[in-house]
Amino acid sequence: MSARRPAPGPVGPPEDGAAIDGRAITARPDGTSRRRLLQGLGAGALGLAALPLAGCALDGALADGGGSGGAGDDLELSFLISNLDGGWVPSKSAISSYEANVWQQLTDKLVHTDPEGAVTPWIATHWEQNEEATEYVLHLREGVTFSDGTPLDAEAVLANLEAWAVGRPDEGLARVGLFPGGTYEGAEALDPLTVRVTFTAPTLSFLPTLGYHGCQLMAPSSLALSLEEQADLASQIGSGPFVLESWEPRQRVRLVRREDYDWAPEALGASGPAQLAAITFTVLPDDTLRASAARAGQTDLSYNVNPQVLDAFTEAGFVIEVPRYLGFVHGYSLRTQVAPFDDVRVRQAVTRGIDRAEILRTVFTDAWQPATSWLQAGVPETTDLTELFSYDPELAATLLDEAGWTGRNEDGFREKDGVELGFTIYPTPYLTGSVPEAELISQHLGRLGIRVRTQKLDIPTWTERVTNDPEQGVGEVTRSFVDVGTVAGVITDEGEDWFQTGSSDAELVRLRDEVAGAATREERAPLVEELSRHVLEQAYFIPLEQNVQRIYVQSPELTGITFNAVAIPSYHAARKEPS
Amino acid sequence: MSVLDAAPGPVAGGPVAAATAPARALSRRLPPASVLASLAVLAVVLLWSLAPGLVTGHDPAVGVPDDKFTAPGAGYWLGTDHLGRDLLTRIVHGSASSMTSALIAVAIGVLAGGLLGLLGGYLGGWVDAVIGRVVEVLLAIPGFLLAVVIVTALGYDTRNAAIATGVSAVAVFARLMRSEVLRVRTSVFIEAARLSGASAGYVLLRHVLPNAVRPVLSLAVLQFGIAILVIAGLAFLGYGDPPPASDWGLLVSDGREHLLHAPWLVIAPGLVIAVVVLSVSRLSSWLDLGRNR
Amino acid sequence: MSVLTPTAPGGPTGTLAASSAAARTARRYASFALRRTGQALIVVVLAYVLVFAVLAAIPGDPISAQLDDPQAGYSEAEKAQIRAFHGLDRPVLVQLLVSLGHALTGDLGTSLSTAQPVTAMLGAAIPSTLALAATALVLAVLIAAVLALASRLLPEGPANTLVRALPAVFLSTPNFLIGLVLIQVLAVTLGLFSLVEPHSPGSTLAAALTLAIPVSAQIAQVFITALDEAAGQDYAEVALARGLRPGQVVVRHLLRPSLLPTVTIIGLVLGEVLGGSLITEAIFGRSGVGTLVQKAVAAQDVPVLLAAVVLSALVFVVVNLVIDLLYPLLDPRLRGKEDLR
Repeated sequence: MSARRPAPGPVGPPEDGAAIDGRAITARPDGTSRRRLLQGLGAGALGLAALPLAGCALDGALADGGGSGGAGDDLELSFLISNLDGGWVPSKSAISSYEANVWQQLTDKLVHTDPEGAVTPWIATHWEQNEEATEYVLHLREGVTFSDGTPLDAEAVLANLEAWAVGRPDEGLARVGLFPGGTYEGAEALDPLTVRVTFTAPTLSFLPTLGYHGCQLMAPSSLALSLEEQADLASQIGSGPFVLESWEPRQRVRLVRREDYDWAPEALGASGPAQLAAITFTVLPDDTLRASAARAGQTDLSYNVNPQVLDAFTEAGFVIEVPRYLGFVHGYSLRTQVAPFDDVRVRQAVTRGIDRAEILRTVFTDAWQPATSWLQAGVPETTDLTELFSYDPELAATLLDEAGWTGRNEDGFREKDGVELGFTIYPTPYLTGSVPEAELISQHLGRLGIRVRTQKLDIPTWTERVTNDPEQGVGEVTRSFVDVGTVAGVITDEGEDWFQTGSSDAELVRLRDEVAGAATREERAPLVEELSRHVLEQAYFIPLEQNVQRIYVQSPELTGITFNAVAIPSYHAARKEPS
Repeated sequence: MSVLDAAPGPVAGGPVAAATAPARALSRRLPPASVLASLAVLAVVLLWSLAPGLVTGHDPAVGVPDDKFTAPGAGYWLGTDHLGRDLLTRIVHGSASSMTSALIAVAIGVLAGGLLGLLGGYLGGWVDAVIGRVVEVLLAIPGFLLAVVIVTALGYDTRNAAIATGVSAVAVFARLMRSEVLRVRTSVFIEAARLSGASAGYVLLRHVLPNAVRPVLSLAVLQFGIAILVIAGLAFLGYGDPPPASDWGLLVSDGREHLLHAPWLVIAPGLVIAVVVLSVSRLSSWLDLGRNR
Repeated sequence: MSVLTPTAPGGPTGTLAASSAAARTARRYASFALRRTGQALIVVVLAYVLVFAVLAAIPGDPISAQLDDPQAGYSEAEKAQIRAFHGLDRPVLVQLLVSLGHALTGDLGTSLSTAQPVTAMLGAAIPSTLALAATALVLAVLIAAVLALASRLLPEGPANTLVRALPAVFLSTPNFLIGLVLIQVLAVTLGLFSLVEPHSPGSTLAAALTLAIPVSAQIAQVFITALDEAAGQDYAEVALARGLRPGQVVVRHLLRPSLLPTVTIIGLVLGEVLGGSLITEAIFGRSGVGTLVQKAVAAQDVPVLLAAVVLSALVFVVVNLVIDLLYPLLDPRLRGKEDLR
């Protein structure tokens, strides 16, 4: 809107810029201007009247299948994605919700971790560990090669371990954040197909983490490149079932089948090369457009559409995949150093004041499931603790009264000593639906007399203002993990200190040490339940619903798609029935 | 965002000259009907802004979740949104904030731009040269882009969007004010005032400013309309206010996600913006005509 | 930029020989052209500095945001090393000078979020925006020409009134509304283009139309006013009195004098086209400079944002410089004025 400058008449104005002037809409001073205005409005409204009709016409639009594909095994998959802006430096984008969909098809991992947390062989065919869980020996599959022909052997694995655990920070290449780099001591090749990895302390999470999306195996030649060179996807050589054919930054990635691929993990249910001949990822940033394109049959797969439109897709025969990863449920972590969360009764009132059933009904669909704990139900150690935080507005009101929040200000919110009871939620930008969810929560707690402000932020600002800011009372969690041992790392100041209890809660400290020190999963499970119970009783964490961070709207013709522990799809065994 | 661009200035004379004398006399007594209609639209919006409760009975922030996505009808005149909130109520309650933001934007443009133009035009010399360069730079960066950059630096909310919009309008006000000052400065009575020993500040305040008011006012009214559009555009891209605020642009942006099954969420606030901006610009061009007579 | 209306160098009226007057005019033109080009360069450099300064106020950066996330668990030493690699530890002024120096040699740095060279990212985005902007400008001129000619040729009456009211309506309608309606009607209801291919001719045309509508209104307003003004001149009245039909009058007598202000406004609305492409590209899912800006904003990717904004300013400045330089050459009245005196 900058340019509001005069068009100089044929003869320029006498002074430089002298004719600046505000006549936007030149009107003729005759008596017909009213009619003109009304007619103009009429014309504008005319075009808009067509819209509701457009909505109706759409319902019949699911006509003849996907936008791609031929016969037999030449079938291709078209995948519409919201963005591919994270770039192709693995240390930056391997764990991105977007790029990971591509990486998973291009690369392999040492092990496969399934949605139930079971670790099964992949490039590592078997392994041993010592009793203290400080030393692991991995045996590699023979004959595996990267797509440039170089072998995926012990040397290659060593290079990858080095990149995951240490990285090259002086060159801008960070290590993999979730890899247990803190206890990592080193690794050595015992023979061309055997690797020994040692840790300075028990590290039960090592094996499951190898199935985590950050730990994808890249060719040593790719790992050796500089940051800027790594940004070129073509320079990223993996050993996966698909290889890159072409790509345009931020717009499109096209992968084709690797014909000599023969080392898929058994868990995927198919061996040999992939079924599909090619996959094309196309970026279409607008949620509505991706949904429209799917409805119009212009794509096989649309990623992350608004949950509130999903019912219409189900009715039209589409398959909606809402894979739930292993990890924490979607919820708020409360920082107990920040008022009003320094009072356990307020925390409990907040958790009891949220009508989770209404959230599921209004913001999401039946595919979403209520939280049963602060951990996803798929985590093997999770037990149903719903009664500790179920909706109970009377109890919540009583708790607030007991806590002394009995006054009311002119807006109807509770107050104590002239201070209003309230806080701010910055809904996480990582989750579709977090904003309307926060708005509903604001309404629920508003009924109890708590003022909840909500503000939407972009990702960097959100990280700045919520995750990294100790003054913000409500943190929001959408976190995956592959091993439940991760919980020990978040609950006290020997770690992320989510609840700002430092080491003041002796119970938390004890459970942290016992969970971290456990050498077997059997020993650890009851400890995790005890810990969960304590966290929920203290209302340190407010569970909302089981986290669905990725929504896949699939054409009914697609089958054989599997998801791993962190809800990333694998298309190796995917098939498409020609319609 | 769109720029209501200036038609050739007073030099051109324009279609005004075509009006016949009697029509001119008549229209001087009574504004044209389209202007009256525009005034009526703005009066309604003013009413919405000052007393939203009078117009609607619903709560703008709290809805009935089970009534979500109700199409426009008897119960909800303009339908409901994704949380079952009444759209008309949200539009009405959003007026105050939308109007205030546009006012802030215009105020920044008028004050900062006016001051720059005044100084440049009156003092001349190197001050004028420096100010001139700054204005040129501001004009060279597409205004909407500039607003986006500024709001990025300030942080996303409606106030900051308003400030960004205001800053991107500084240049046009500076240019207008400068040219007005140059025009007035050379006139006889200013010369006289200066010769009689009045201080520069006094001359500026007493003689130069009052004479520049009308064109600046006309531009300000026009910029008000532009500001509504720009702020709505920023909100549409997500640089606006936090929900449950119901700024008009934000309503459009929220509704965009639901265009497929609830198109009224986009159309209704979009049309309200269009009608208000149209009214404002009609008013501005009418004010402008008055000046040229 | 200011001199959008290059006043022909006014000088003492002379009785010089025609040839020496022409030589003098040429010399003056050369010095004028040189001065304008210099000014334009300074404006672009200043725009770079200004945008850099504004962006320096952003509290964070994407690298630090990623590193500070406690989930990642990086040590302070690791964070410092990575920040230093990107030059984020240097004082702002040093960063500005280094970045400006590189920019002047054509090196726009690397993106903080994708690590790609900024020039490559811009290069990939420019064709899309260029296609959009060019199509939009052509459409805008066409629409404006139709409106302007209709305003002259249609007899006084409701139709003429409507035509003259349309620009105001076009200008007042938010362009996201226009875009969303066009998508719904053209792509979804009528199926005229595929949403999956935002760069197909159909989609590009629809996006360009979205962008063109408000822009055409500005051109139309100037065009209509210029035509009206020309019609008020004596020669036009004479032509009518001589019995020429209105159409002939428009073509023979009104069009030419109206073209110059119209060309000038086309240069000026370029800023609108570039700014408006932000919203249009977002709506239509195009991956041009506008989306690049939006993504850079969301990721606080300062090098990319800076480069894209300055590029827009550069395009705007250069196009208007060219128009300014052509202006005295095109307008016989401007060129001849001093000789006639």
